[in-house]
Amino acid sequence: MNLRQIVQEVRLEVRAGGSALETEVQGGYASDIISDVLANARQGTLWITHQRHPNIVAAAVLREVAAIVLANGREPEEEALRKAREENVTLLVSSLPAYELAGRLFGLGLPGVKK
Amino acid sequence: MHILDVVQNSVRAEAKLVEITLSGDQEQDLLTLEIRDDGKGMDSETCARASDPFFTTKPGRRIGLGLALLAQAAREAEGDFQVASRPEAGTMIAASFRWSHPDCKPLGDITATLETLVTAHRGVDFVYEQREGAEIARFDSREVRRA
Repeated sequence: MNLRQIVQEVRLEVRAGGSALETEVQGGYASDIISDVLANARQGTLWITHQRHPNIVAAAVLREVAAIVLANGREPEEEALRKAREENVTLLVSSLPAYELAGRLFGLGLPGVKK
Repeated sequence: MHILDVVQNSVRAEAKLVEITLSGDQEQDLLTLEIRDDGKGMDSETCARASDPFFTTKPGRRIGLGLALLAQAAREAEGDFQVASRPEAGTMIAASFRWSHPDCKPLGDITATLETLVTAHRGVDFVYEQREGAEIARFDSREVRRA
């Protein structure tokens, strides 16, 4: 399943990196702790977070995640948005709470990251 | 509280002495972390970008999250973050936090942090001072090494 299909299925809104929507997504990871994401998120996964800071873009670049999804209607800070556009990191937002969003993604067949 | 990450910068800046001060003020509901080193310091341009996650002086890298994460932690707890430095005059990092803020990060195991620093960097001395009201706890690796 690619990002474009996920965006449509779960009604996500694209804030940055819309040119990379054909990227195949391997699974999902949910965390608000950057060090945890650096340690455990995998390349090509969808990262669900509430964090809005530019550091999320740096972490996404380091881990090569497929996209960041801000849950619960949170919007990225202006600087995070600018960095995401600069780095071509796909930044998506969802009005769904993180729990429900993760459930729906799992229901679409996206597995969680296994240690 | 990101101390290990920040001190790595001091070590790379060839510091011989790193002073870490943690001050808690219950009346002002303020927790302050200050890290000073006598390393080679930074010019104003480098200093201004020090907390930018897409800036690092580490060779071969483009992303540096050490100070960026400390700055983020301070902001999330309604605090403040400052870096002051001059070439050949060392660097001072200060982060403050509203102590009672639910997002104020836990201190972690300070004893283990100091043990790691002292054993990993034998050419660097560390002074740690923890202040809360009239109470002051102090560790100075120079005293340990002399003993």
